[in-house]
Order: sequence, then C-alpha cells, then structure tokens
Amino acid sequence: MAGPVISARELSLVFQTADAPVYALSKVNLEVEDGDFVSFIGPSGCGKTTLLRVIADLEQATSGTITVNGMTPQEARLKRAYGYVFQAPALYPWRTVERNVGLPLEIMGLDHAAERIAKNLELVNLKGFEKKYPWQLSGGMQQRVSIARALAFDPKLLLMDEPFGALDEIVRDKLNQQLLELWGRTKKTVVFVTHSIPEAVFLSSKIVVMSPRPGRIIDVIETNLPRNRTLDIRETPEFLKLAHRVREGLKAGHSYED
Amino acid sequence: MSAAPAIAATPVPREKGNAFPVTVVCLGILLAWYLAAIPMNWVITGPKIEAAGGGLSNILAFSWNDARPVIPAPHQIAQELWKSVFTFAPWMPKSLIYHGWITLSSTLLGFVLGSLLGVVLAIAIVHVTFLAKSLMPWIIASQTIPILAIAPMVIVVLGSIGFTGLVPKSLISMYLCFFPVTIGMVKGLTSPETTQLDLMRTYHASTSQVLWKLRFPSSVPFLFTSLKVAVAIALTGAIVGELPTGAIAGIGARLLQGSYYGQTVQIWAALFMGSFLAAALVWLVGVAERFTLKRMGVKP
Amino acid sequence: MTKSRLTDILYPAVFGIGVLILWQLIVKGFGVPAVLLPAPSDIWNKLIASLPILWVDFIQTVLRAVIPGWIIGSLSGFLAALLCDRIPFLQRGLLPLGNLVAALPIVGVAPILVMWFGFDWPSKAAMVVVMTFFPMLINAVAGLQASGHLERDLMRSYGASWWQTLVKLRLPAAMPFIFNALKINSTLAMIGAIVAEFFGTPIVGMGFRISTEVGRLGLDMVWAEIVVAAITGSAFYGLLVFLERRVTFWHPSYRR
Repeated sequence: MAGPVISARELSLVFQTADAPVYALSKVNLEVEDGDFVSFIGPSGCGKTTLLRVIADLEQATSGTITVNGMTPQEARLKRAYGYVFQAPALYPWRTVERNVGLPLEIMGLDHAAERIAKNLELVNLKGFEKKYPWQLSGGMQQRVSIARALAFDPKLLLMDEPFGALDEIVRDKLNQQLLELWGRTKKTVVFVTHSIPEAVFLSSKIVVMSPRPGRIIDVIETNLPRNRTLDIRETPEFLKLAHRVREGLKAGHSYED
Repeated sequence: MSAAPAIAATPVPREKGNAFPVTVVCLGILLAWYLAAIPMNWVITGPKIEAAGGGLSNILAFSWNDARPVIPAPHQIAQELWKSVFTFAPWMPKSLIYHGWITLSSTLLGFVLGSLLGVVLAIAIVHVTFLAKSLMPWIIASQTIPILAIAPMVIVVLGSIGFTGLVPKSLISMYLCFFPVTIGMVKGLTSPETTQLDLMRTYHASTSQVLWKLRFPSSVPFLFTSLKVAVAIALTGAIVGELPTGAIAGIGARLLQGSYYGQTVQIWAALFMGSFLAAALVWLVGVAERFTLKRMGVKP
Repeated sequence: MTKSRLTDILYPAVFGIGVLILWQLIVKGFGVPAVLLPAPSDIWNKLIASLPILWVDFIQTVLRAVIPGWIIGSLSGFLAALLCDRIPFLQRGLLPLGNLVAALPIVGVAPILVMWFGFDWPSKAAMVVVMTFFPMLINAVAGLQASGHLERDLMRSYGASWWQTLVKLRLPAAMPFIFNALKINSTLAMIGAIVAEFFGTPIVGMGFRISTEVGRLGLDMVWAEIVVAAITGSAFYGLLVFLERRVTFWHPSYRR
C-alpha cells in the first residue's frame, strides 16, 4: 500500500467551555509510515490522547484533514483498520480470557476464531490462561490480554493510549520489552501515547514531542536505535542524548511550568 | 506559534434541563387519556349518545362528562378536587382536606416514631455484633414478606382492646417505615472508609466520639434517601390501615366508599389527593435534605 | 465452618426460636385470648387443618395474579427502559415522572383496576403490573448506563452496531441493576396482589381470606395465611438471589 498509513494536515480541534475556547489540537501536521513505532509524548493537556482518539474516530477534528490508510477515520473504523488499547484493560468481567480476546471476532463475524485467539494469547505469553476470569489475573496480565484482543482481528495499525501507565515500573519494563519483540515479529504500525520519556525513547522509531495550550507538535525525533535492542540500552550515551533532546523539546513547550 | 487561531469551534452542548421533555410527556399522557376515555366509557355512554342522535360533539360531550364513567376525564377529576377541597369547610366530612388530614396525621406520627426507632436500632446494630447477627437477617428476610397484608389484623386486634383511630394506623406506618430507615442507616453508619476509621484510632477516639464525629455525618445522605422511601411507605400504610375496618374517615376510607357506591370520580379525586400528599411529603424531605447538606458543606 | 459463619447462622436462628418460645409462653401463660393473639401452636394447628383452603388461596393469589403480573410488569418496564435508551428525549421526560410515581400510594389504584378488570384475578394481576413497572424502569435505565466509558469506546472502535453493543456489553453490565429490580418487584408483587384483594374479590384468595377472617376475629387463620405469604415471599426472593449469583457471578460484591 503506497503512501503513509496516517497523514494529518493542519489538524485542529477546538471546543467551547464556559470560560473560553480550549485548543486541544492546533494545526498539527504528521505523517506515520508503514511499520513505524511512533510515540506521542507530552504533559497532560498537550493533545496526545486527543490526537490518538481523532485517528481512531472516537473524536472528530474541527478543521484540517486526516487520513488513515487513505480513508477518513470513520471509514477506517468501520473497516476495522486498527486495534485500540486503552489505559485500563477494559476487559468484560463476565467473560473468560479467551472469550474476551474473541470479542472483536464475534462482532466482526470473523472465522477461525479459535486459532486467532490461541495465536494472539501466545504472542503475549499468556498461553494456558484461556479459561481464567479477568479478576484472577494481575494488572499486567490483564493489560496483555487487552493487547491480544486488539491484535485478534489482525489490524495493520495498533493504537495504544498509555497502556502501561497504571502498572509498577518493574512490570512496565517487562511489558515494554515484550511489546518491542511483538512489534518486531508482527511488523505492525504502532502509535503509542505515553508520558514516560524513557519508555518513549526505548520503544519508538519516531518520537513526537507535544506541548499544551494550544496542543501542538514541538519536535519530531527519529531514533535510530538498533531493532533488536534490550532494556540495557537505556544506559548508553545514544539513549541519553535522545532523552535529553526530548526533555529540551518539552521545556521549549513550557511543559515544565505551571 | 501560540496566538489563538481564528477557527470555528464546535460548541459543547450545555446540560439540558428536563422541564421541556417532562412537559411534553405529561401533555402526551393527557392527550392519550382523553382519547382513551372515549372507547373505555362507551359501555356506559354508548346508549346515551345514540339516544341523543350520535355525532362527534355528542360523543365527546358524553364521553368526557358522564357522572359515573368507567374512566373520568382529567377535567372532571380537577372539578371534583376543586369541589372537595375548596367548597367545603375543612372540618366537614365532605371535604378532602378533612380526609387528607386524618390520613396525614397518622402518617406523620408513624413516620416520626418509625424513623427514630430505625435510627436507634441502626446505631445498636452497628455497635453490638450480637444484635447485628441476630437481628439483621430477620430484618432483611422481613423485607420479602408482604407486611402490608397484616395491616388489617393490627387494626382489628388493637381495636378490640380499645385502641381505635390514630394510634393503630400510626403503628402500622411506624412498623412499615422503620425497615428502610434501619437498613439505610446501617449502610450509612458503616460507610466510612477504613482509612478514616484508622485515623480515629490514632486519635484514641472513644466509640461515641467516632459515632458522632464520623459515622453519623457520613450517614446523612443515606438517612435522607431512606427517609424519602419511609415517608412514602408510611402514607401507603396509613391508607391501607383504613381499609379493613371500613373506616369512615381518611383517604383510604374515601377510596373504599367510592368503590362501594360506584362513585368513580370520587375515587380518582381521593387518589390524586393521596398522591399529592405523598409528593409533598417527599418534596419536604428533599428540602430538608438540601438544607442539611448545604449546612454540612456538601458540594451542591 | 469458621466461628464467624457459625454465629452468622446460629445467632438469628436462636433469636427466632427464642421469640417463638417467648410468644408461646406469654400467650398460654397469661391466658391471652386467641382473638387477640393466637399462640404459635394454635397457628400451626390451624395451618395443618386448613391446607386445602390455603392451597386454593395460594393458586388464586400467587399463581394467577402475582407471577403473571410480575412477569408482565417487569418485562414492560424493561422494554420501556430500552425505548428510553433509544430515544433520549423520552428518557428525560419519563424518568422524573417514574421517580415521582414510585413514591405515590399506588395501592390506591386498586379500586379503579377492580372497576376496569372485574373482581377476579385479572384486576389483581393488573395491580401487580402497575406496581412492578416503575421500579424495573428506573433500575433498568440506570443499569443500561452502567457500562463504562472505555468499554463503550471499545465497541465503537470495533464498528459495533447498537444491537451488538446492547447484547454483548450493556445487558450483561445491567444485570446487577435488573436483578435488584426483580427482587424489589417480588415483594411489591405479593403486596399488590394481596392488598388489591381487600377491595373486592371472589370468595377465594389470600387477601380475601385475611380480610374476612379479620372481620370474624379468626386470627389464627389470618396468621396461617401470613405464614404462607411469608414462606412464598422468602422462597421467591431466595430463588432470585440464587439466579442472581449465577448470572452476575463476576460482580465485585461477590469477592470477599
């Protein structure tokens, strides 16, 4: 498929509140190529989640254009072009793990469900947990089920909204490693929202630094870290230089001020 | 780049009030009522309409103005209400105010006694495990029993030992409304979080200090919710209490009389009076609730 | 069985038996007349002796009025809630009215229903329908809105239709609320049917039996009917609790 997977031009989202208009996104220009791992990083209110939700057609822009796979976000959503992973696992407590992973397959009427479910549970290293209920799993495991569910119908695009934010750092490190391996194996395009600088630098091939009031892109950084990296890379000079560049961008966007 | 660009913004819709939809639904109900009255009253009005020669104006006139209809038209009920409330002196047996007051007085007495009993019982249950374990299962089980059905018996039994009138009816109301108050208060008194209770322990607070400074304030929302339920059920209890012995005074009595003598409009008027009383009582509890919560500094 | 669970069962059982024993002793010991308060032993004897009558009353009240009325009332309340969900305008208009009606002495419509549906069981079933409609409407509307923000966004991301979202997400999420209403309605149904019979009924039915025996001061029979009503009410409620546990096993309130 030619052309970028996501293409946004002069994208803006303004909404009225009782006090004054809020510019959640202001003239955002962005291109995401096939196979990229793009992180949106910035403080609260910089528009990173809003931008992700506009891509997913969970919210609509007020001006500018955006295409996903060459279509409008709505068409892409109805064509089931992406899988979405939320901040919380959002698993249905009345379904077992395998029935949760199978939920999109039921809705979309896709066949070979059992194979897809087994394959994706194995991808997230949860083989053997099919019959468990969500509350029997830890937070990290629940989030992995949520990722398996997003991949179940094999979308080319994966949208992730701070998926590891609620987990402790040790679990988070492990999941970062696993996500990177998964990306390497499946070659999906991933758009990942985070407010952790090390996480963004570790995972991404491209980092989009955003800042608030109005929500806009300050810097786009191509990392060129080796594909098969491990967590140790976080102490190398290249890594620290990238992290520094991200931090500078955040400061320029007044992200560290009140 | 930071200055505000001139972009048309999507307005966020403000929270709409409910007044308009409620009015529309009420008007719809009124319309449906008037229309339904025509076929429903036909069994009575049919012959009269034929005798008068038929025609639309006759149909409407007879369907909506019969003295003993199957279903009275809303304006007939309004007229009867007006007559019963404003044309008779309030102490006369023909006045709905007289009957309303009879029912209301036993309701209020039962409500006050029942609520006090409920609060006291709840405090006892929360502090004495023995009471909690022996009483609560029975209280919850009793919710599954149609208690209202024993109202007649209470009236008659107390009547035969000489208690008539206000007291037995208010006893029924009291019995009916202490259940929701007890259960609501137990829930409320046990609602403080563990962290809040732990804080009291670090202060070495006594049980009664914890009760008055923490548990009771936390239970106020629960109390008012159950008071609203209790006041409504106390009124129902008072009305049902008037049924079995063929009482001659009170809303329930008017319902019974209307039922015996086929006075449909009288039944509806009494029903509206009872409903108005219930709504007014619940509204009053709501006013007290808003006032109290405001004094306590709760976010409106 | 742990000590706590033992006392959970023992204390209320001992309390209940204690009340019965006390009751029996006071009535027999002080010679309280049976027209005032019959002893538990008298009630038991009367119950055993009157089983055929109690059975006929049970059929008339419970099987012909309570159960059909409860089913129809709860179902129509639920369907109305679905309608309100589809048409938000209707919800904003109907729900405040529903809350108002729930506070009114609905038993007052009993004479009107007797007038419309006749003396026999249809008017009692109608009474039950009226009483069970609004609690189900209010609870079902709350239940349909109980599914979380994230879960609904998830369905949107799948391009799921309204029907799919309803069946796969919102209905299961609404079940705790729906069962809450079904349990409340079981009690209201019993009350509605019995009280409606106070306003006129053919010569059979639990409410009929209570009101006539009260008039004749046959209080042991009244108590016998109350025992039957209590057992029926508790069994009905208990069955719903059992079903609720099976259907909403996933709810946090079941995890200690």
